[in-house]
Amino acid sequence: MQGVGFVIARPIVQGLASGAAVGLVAVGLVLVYKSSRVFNFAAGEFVTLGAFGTYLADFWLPFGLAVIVGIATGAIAGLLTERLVVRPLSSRPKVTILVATVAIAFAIIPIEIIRSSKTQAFPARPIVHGNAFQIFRVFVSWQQLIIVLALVVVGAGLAYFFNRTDLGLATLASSQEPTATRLMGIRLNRISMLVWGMAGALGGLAGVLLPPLNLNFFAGFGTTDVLIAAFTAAVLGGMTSVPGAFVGGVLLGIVQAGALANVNSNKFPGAPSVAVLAVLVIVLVVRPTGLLGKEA
Amino acid sequence: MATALEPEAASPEVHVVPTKARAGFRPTPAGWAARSLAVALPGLIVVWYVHHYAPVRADFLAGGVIIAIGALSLNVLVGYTGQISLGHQAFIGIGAFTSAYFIGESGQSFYVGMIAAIVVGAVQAVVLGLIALRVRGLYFALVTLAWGFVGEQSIFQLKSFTGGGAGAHATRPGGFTTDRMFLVFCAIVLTLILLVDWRLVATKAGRALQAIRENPQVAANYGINVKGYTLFSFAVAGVYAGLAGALFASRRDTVSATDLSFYLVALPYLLVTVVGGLRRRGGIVVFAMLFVLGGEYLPDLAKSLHIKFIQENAGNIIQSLSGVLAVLTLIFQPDGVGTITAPIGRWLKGERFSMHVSAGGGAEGVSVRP
Amino acid sequence: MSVLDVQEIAIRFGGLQALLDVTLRVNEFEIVGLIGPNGAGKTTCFNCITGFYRPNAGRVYFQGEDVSELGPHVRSTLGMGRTFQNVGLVKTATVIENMLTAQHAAIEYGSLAGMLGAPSSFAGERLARRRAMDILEILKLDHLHDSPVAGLPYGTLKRIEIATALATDPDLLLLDEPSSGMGPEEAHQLGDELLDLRNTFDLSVLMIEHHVPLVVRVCDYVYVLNFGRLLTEGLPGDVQRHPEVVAAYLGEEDPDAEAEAERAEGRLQGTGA
Repeated sequence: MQGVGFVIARPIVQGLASGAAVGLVAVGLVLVYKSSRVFNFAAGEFVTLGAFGTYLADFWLPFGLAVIVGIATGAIAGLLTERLVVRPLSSRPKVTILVATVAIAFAIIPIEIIRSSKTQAFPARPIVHGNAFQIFRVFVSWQQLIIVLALVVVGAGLAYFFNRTDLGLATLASSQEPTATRLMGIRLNRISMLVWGMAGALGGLAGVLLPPLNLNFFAGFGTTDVLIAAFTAAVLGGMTSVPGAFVGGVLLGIVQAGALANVNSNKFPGAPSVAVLAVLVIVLVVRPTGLLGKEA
Repeated sequence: MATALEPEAASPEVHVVPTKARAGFRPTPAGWAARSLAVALPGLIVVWYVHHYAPVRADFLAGGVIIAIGALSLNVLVGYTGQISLGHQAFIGIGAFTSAYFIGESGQSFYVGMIAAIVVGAVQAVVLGLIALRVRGLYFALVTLAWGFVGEQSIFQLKSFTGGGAGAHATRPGGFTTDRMFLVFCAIVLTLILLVDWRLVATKAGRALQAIRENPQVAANYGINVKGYTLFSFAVAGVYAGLAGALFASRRDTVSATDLSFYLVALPYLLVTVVGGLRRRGGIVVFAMLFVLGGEYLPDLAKSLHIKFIQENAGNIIQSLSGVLAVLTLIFQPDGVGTITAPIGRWLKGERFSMHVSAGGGAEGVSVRP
Repeated sequence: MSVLDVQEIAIRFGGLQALLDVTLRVNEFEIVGLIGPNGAGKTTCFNCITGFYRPNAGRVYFQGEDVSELGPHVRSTLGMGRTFQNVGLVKTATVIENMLTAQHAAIEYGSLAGMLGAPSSFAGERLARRRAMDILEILKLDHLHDSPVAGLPYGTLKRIEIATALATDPDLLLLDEPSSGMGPEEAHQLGDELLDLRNTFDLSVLMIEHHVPLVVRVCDYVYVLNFGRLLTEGLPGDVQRHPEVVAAYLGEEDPDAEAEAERAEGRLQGTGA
């Protein structure tokens, strides 16, 4: 049956994949928020920089290494943000840091635009070409499958890190009891850098995985297309919950894909962004703690 | 009750600067003459400049004036009320397309379009304000960001309202159709807004907003309707933005969704506000003009220096540098670069020139209500 | 006629019954004290009276009118002026700016008229400034009018806060520990000042106060709160000797209960009274 496939199954497949990538960014937002109560509006550009890193490295290096370069680019951007901007402002109101991260995005995007003066959109290469299988007459590409797998692997990795390793436990402790943590001799600056580095790497990973779904990417796409979805996913999941961010990302991806597939964009353009606003406002008004959050 | 000052915050060793001397100071006639000259001279230079050079310069200056008005709208929210907006492309764009709709589609005059833009701009702002009453602080920033994208990707793409990708037409007001006269018109609107903004801050509404920004409980205790004034400030910001939008639409005759993106409007306007200085309308206007003039003159400068890269990418370089400048401002000068020029402003108002930071509690920076 | 009539209010925060069956009354021209050990619910009681908290039960009548459902800014406008325990001032503003802000409801021109530069707003501003200076002069604070609030000593801030409360044009003044941050000398002066202010501004006063000599000297009547309930009420001299009151102050469970008890006893026995 064509109907079921296209009305229900296709948005779910597409939303699952793009939502999983958004979920990676959302996890980065949650990690930063948990550790320092900062809303990181530069996160979108970690994504774009990751995409650019891979794109440029692909000219010189084997593709596998180019992917690693992309992730590393995001991680370096995260580290630099922490060291150069967030730390000098750490004693200021959180909204000051928020505006500063907005300013970072504003400083980075024009540089990307200069790079794209000749080609507006850059082709993005999938990790594996072609389709993996078909379900309800909907093709599932290898790239979509890989994104979902990446989410699962990252989720498992983070769960292990935060529950089983000393550094992970220390990171969690520092977000709950900063003073006590300092007394125990754990260096908060180190942990802050670690968290921002991880957030940057997650953004970079999303920047590697997401663009092939649309076949290309353009300057600033992380901020215009990914950032607000990732924030909404994080809020939906509870803002302080890493599993919540994963779940929120996937749910939001499906909602957006559903809105895109089922609303006539000629009569009613931009349905996905309206859906994001609706989800955001409803969650914040009705249930500010989100699905899995413990605090507002 | 978590109110205001802890005992520790009051440091007894701070001596109060005797202020009687300043209050009694009156400039001599020569002093007033010097001050008048200091105001008139830059004005004359601008008039001479616009008169002497090609009209394209006037067009750029008009663009700067529009940015200044938009940034003043943001200043009402971020500076006065303590609410952040990251979606000002929706504020400006809704004004612009409303004005264009009335002018282009219904064939009304510019002034009808402008009034419609003011009304619709205020209404959309108040609706957002109603959400701000329920969603506090940083989370509200997310709502505004999402609202901006709804404007950009949905409302501005409605063919029947905005002409879709082709854009909507909007003529200039009668008698102000040349670039130079349009600049004059924009300057008149800016002057009116500056006057209103000055009186807003100097009277009860401005003080109410200051109290609300700092401590809603203290404000309520002073008899101020916190919810009512929060909505009031959104309405004021919406009116300023509606005016900026109407001018935006008429400046280039056509307005389309691509002109009103997050990147081209919301971000630069916010940074102009922050760098120029929150609660410093003079600083905001000056920095808006510098922002535009930088983009206009950097290519000329680069051309004379034969630096092709800068010449070709001047606009983007200015944007990027503004971002860096904004970060530096936040770190080193939290109340904006307007703080540096504040002594000049006080001197112009007829006070003795002094580098002392007077009145208020000093640097406050960007702050939102908890 | 009573200015303030609080009838059997109760409020609960989670598992904590912060107030239960609290009934108190302030008659016209009276200065009434509200005392009790730390954590007895005095400030919570103020918050219920001024509308910052909504009690779960009971009513609040102000000048014969039921104000239980009204928000704090409406109650302020009706004539309740209040100070806070930790100083409720706009700390980024100057003293005179606070005095002007506090006159919000008293200022006659509208907000829009002010923005649009109506002549009445300029006249209104001059009038408000004169009123502010008059009140500051009465409290001998006029020399500080242009000083930023942040940076002034705590005791001075408490007095400035009384000035701003007076600027709201109150019929009833609710003072939360007005003498805190003041030495005995200053507290004594504050007593004189309160008695004068009552006459000058035609006020009734309800005050939370720990400094017993001050309470005994200025209050016409005293209520004692303990664990959210009224322990007793009466004339200051009687309440001071009431055995349960002494016990309540002594029985305060505190890490250094011993020292606290001694201090409490000192307070209650009153030195200068």
